[in-house]
Amino acid sequence: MHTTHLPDAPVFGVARARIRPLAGLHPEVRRGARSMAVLMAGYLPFGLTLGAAIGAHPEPVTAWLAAFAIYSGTAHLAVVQLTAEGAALPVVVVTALLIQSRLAVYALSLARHWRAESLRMRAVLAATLVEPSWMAATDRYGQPGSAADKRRHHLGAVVALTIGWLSMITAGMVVGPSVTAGTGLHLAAPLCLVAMLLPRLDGNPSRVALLAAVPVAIVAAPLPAGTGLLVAIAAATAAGAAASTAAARREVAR
Amino acid sequence: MTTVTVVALVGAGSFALRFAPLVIGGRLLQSVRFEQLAGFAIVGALTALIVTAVSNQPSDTPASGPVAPVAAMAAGAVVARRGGALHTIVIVGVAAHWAVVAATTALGAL
Repeated sequence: MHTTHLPDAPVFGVARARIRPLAGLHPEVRRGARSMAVLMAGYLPFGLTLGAAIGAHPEPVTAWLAAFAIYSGTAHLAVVQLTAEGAALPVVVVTALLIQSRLAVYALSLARHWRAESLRMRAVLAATLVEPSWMAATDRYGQPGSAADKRRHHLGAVVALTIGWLSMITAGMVVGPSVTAGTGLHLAAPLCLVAMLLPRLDGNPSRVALLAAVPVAIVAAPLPAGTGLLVAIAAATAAGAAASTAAARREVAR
Repeated sequence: MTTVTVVALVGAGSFALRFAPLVIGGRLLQSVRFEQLAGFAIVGALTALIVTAVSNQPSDTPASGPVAPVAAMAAGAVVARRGGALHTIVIVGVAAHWAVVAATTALGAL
């Protein structure tokens, strides 16, 4: 007669620890990793697309390793496509850096939160700054808690982001982007950007900045990669600044 | 041109763009005005990324054109303005896309 072995309590304990790989981590690290997991699901189609482009590149290993150096899917995709086409070095570098110029703005917005961090820690934080990690940071730094807890939260988020992103582009190299074709999931990444943008429209000047940026971004979209981004940034900043100056004048006039 | 050289240059430039503001930005952002301007610039950057992503979308049906992705963004924006969670924004946006694609396909079949 066959009997089923029921594991005793300590064995259950080990089993439970094994299926909860984040169990030994600080709660803030776990929370940061979990917050990133939701965002990462939105970026899956884009990760698969980038992975497929890397797989088709003449130097796939170098193109894959670029994920660490560039740490931004949009610029990474531009580099992969342009180098595969044999574009001139200055064209590739300038295009990618124009696309990356937005990261300076994200860094500026977080500078006051990270001012007290050591230079080495700021270098680590800078190296992993991109839209999802910026969103995780701005959300957490806007909540109560110690600086150490906020740092732990952010580091948990960027570790999850790095592991998740590398997994997605690696999967894309194997299966290509066809898995999500026709599902509408290719819209998940821009919808994540909408989720980042809308809650930050906290006053009339920022709404004016958005109203100025939308038509300018549409008109500038056909411009060489990265240029339209800079034009939209300039338009939004100018319109927002003008609106806030006008609002301040009206306040003084009252 | 080697891919390694390009990756090294773009990687170094990207790091400089991210790191320099963290070194000099702390002082600049003691100004409320500068912080406000950085906020407007972020609005511009995210808007441009959304517009680029939507305009580069492959259309699922010839009849839907850019209407389906624009409808998805609009639906997502409504949910985001109401404080919806990220997964809700994505689900509602993708569902709106499906609805528009289905509607345009049905209209095209008539």
